[in-house]
Amino acid sequence: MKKRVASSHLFLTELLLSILLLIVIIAVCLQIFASADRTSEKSQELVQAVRLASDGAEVFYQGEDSASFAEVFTKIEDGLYLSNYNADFIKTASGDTTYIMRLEVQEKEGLKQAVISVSKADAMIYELIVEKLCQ
Amino acid sequence: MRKRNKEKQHTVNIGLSSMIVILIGLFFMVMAALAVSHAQNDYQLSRRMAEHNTKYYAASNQAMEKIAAAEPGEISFAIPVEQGQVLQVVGNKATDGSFQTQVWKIINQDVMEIEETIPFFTPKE
Repeated sequence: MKKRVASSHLFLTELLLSILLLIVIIAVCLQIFASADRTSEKSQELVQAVRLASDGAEVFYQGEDSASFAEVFTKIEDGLYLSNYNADFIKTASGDTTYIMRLEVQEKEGLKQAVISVSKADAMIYELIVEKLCQ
Repeated sequence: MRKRNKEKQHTVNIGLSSMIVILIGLFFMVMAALAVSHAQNDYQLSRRMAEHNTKYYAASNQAMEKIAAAEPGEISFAIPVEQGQVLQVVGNKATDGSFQTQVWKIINQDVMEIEETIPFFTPKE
C-alpha cells in the first residue's frame, strides 16, 4: 500500500513537471511563431509596396494629366500627389488609411523626376526614383 | 498469482507523460523552426525583388538622362542593370525633344543558372 502511494506521488510529480515543461515549450514556440508571422507580414508589405510604387511609376510615365494617373493619385498641391490604401492594400478614402503612397514631382535638367514612396505610419517601406523626359 | 495480477493493474506508468511532452515539444520546435526559416526565405526573396526593381528603374533613369543629353536622330545604347542583365534602348529622338521608342527591354547576357538548392538554415556571419 505504501509502495503504491509513493509511486502515485512520483507519477503526480512527473505529471506536474511535464505540464510545466509543456507550458515553457509552448511559450517559447509561440514567441517564435509570432516572430515568423511578423517577418512574413514585413515581406508581404515589401512586395505590395514594390507593386504600388511600380504602378505609380508607370502612371507617372503616362503623364500627370492622364486618366490613369488621376485614378491612382489625388493632387494635394503642385507637384505633390497622394494615394491612400487600407490594410489589405486596396485603394481607399482617407478615413481607413494604413498605407500611403506619396509622389513628389520636380524638374531636373530637362527631365521630370518623381520620388515615389510607400509608407506606413511615417515608417518608409519602399522608395523609388523615376525620371522621364519633359515634353 | 491473483495478488500479483492485482498489483500489475495498479502499477503507474512512470515516464510516459515525460515521453509525450518530449514528443510534443519536439514537434512544436520543428514546426517553429520551419516557420521561421520559411518566413526568412520569403523576406530575402522580397528584398531581392525590391532591389531588382530599384536597379531596373535606376537603369531607366540613366537611359532617360542619356536620351535627354543626346542629339536628335537615331539613338541606340545599353545600360547595365545588374550582373548579366542590360537594358537595351533603341529609338529616334525628334528635334522637338520627344523620343520614339523602338526597343526598351532587358536582355540577359549570361546563361541563367537555376538554383536547385533549398536553403533551410543559413547562419549569419
